[in-house]
Amino acid sequence: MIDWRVDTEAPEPPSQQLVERCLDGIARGDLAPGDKLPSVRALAGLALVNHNTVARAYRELDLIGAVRGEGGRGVFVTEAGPQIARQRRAATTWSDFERALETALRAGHSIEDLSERVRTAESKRRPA
Amino acid sequence: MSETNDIARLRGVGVKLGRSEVLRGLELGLAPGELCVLLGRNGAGKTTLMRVLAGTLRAESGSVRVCGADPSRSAAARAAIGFVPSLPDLPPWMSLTTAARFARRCYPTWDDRRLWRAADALAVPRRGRISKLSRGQAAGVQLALALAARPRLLLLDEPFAGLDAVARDGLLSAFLTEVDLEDTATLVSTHDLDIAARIADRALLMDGGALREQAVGDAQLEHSAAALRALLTQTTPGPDGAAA
Repeated sequence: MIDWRVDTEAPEPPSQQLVERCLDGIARGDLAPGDKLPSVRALAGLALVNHNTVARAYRELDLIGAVRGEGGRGVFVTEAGPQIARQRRAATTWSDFERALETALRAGHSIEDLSERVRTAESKRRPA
Repeated sequence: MSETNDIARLRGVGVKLGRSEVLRGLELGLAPGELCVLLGRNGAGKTTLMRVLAGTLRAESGSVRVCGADPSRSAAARAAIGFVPSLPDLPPWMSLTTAARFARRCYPTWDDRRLWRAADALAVPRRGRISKLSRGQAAGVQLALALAARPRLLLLDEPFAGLDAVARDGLLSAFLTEVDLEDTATLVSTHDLDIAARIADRALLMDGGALREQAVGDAQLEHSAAALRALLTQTTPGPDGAAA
């Protein structure tokens, strides 16, 4: 489930937050190629923003190729969607990771400790 | 947006209540497809402006046009307006169904399917007396009636005031799902800056009886609650909150 509700105190404008939520959902696989996104009206009600803001977010996602509007049928995740979403997320993910790494090293954790943590986290994610 | 497309247009509008000048030289154009939020301190004149637009208060100077006519004189202009007052103004013995029977006759564009869909989305009982409803449901009744009229100009005066957080979000969500933005100009007055930042295409700021608009550049089409708060802080409260 994607939590669509936007935060009006955040520095990013609401439509940009919706773009990021969609890309997160696509990158994670919650939204797969061919999946239909909520209608503009429905998403307006879920995110608590107006139609024009949702339409702006969908235009942006269409522009970068992650989704495609198909006339009156709706907006769908494209085949290339997951790759595009992951690429867009990669930059943010790495900068977040590097910042966390920096903090951890400053706090005196060893590279071995951190590697062990990464391995544990990864084995927890893998289905048994 | 060109002026000729405007659904509502106010030019140099002045209103005095008693000795105080509540609106002065006010200019405003509202175009179809726009959702405008009206902000201002208590007593700044928000409700007065709403009443002038709704045609329930006549401006002393300037011109007021809604769909080309003065709503304080033209029944046709009033029939193009949906108005949700800050406090429910329907007789308490009415239910949504009985209220709709009266409202249906006033609006040539009335749409029953729209009424029941909005009522369901707003979780409003069709037959319960308004006096027996919660505050949020009573607001929902007024909103469902306003939406069913398919107005060209939709005016919501503090529709979320006094509602608890759950009722507020429910009403807001149903409003955003059900409202027809395309052909309608919508004006919502509110003190709630979170709501304002969520829904505003345009943020209008009432100060000293006139309007200021937050300049919105190409890069920044949307508003943040913090930016709106900063703007509001620069304005002065009105002389008498109760009158305006």
